[in-house]
Amino acid sequence: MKHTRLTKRIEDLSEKLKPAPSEGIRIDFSSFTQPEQLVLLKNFELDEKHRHGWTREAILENREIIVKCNMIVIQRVNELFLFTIPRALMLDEVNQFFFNVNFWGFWERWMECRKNVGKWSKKDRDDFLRDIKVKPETNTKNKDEVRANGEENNN
Amino acid sequence: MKSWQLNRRVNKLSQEITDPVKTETKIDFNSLSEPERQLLDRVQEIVDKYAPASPPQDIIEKNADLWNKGLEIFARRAMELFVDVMPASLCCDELEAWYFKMYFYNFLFDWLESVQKLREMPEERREALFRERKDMGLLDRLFRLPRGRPETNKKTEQNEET
Repeated sequence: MKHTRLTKRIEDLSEKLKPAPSEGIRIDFSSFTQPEQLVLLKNFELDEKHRHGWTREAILENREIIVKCNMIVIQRVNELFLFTIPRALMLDEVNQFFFNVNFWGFWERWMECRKNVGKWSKKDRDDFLRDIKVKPETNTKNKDEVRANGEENNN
Repeated sequence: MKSWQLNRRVNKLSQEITDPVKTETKIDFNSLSEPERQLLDRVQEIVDKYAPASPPQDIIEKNADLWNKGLEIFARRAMELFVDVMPASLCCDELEAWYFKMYFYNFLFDWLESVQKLREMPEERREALFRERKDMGLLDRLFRLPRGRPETNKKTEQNEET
């Protein structure tokens, strides 16, 4: 095979090996239980009805179904993640133990952080959001360690 | 309805509530890209050939590239789903979603670091660690990892005390 053809072939193969994009990953609908499917279908129906934008009244009126739907999705996505990753990475028992410890630690820390972020003023939130959108080399504010857990913001 | 019948019915319903039907959460095959589906179909063909048993080790080794790529697809897609769906389902605003991603990728790095340390451990030490965790019943339990506090906080507290 000529050098140019070989290069072309390698390029083609490299292109094929790249992670191919899809429209977005979904959970198989049939893997939900029947009661879960009913909640999800009701939610799809509401989403269709309010596709031009949810009003505050509509959210409050349907809050139970929205919260229940979110709960189902959170539980299932968490379950899928915890099932798939240790198997895909072929973890042994010790590695799986550390995986679980770190994973639940992440949830706990993030929830604590979210609580702290909830105490920030609107101005602090807007300022911080503006800062994180600044390119890293010009952004010196994000080096502040205290903000890593959202504990303080003294803008 | 007699009392014993009523009790039995109540017990049955309680059991159904506490022990709901469990179904396996699966990724929608159609949401994968065409090359991913083709690869997974090839893996499935091998699995089906040896079903209900698992494919022999030499067959897995022979098709290691295919196998590993398949596992990589599942891991990558499950992670993608987790990172994309969770913040929206938790009704996070932009800032909370940003922190979510930061904490998530930090968790992965922390865990990879612990994997690295485990791999550097001599086999005997690793075995001893595993036995110890098992004897203490820690493999089925979780606990909070101690966390260092930011130096800036400590300094502020010290200044306040003095």
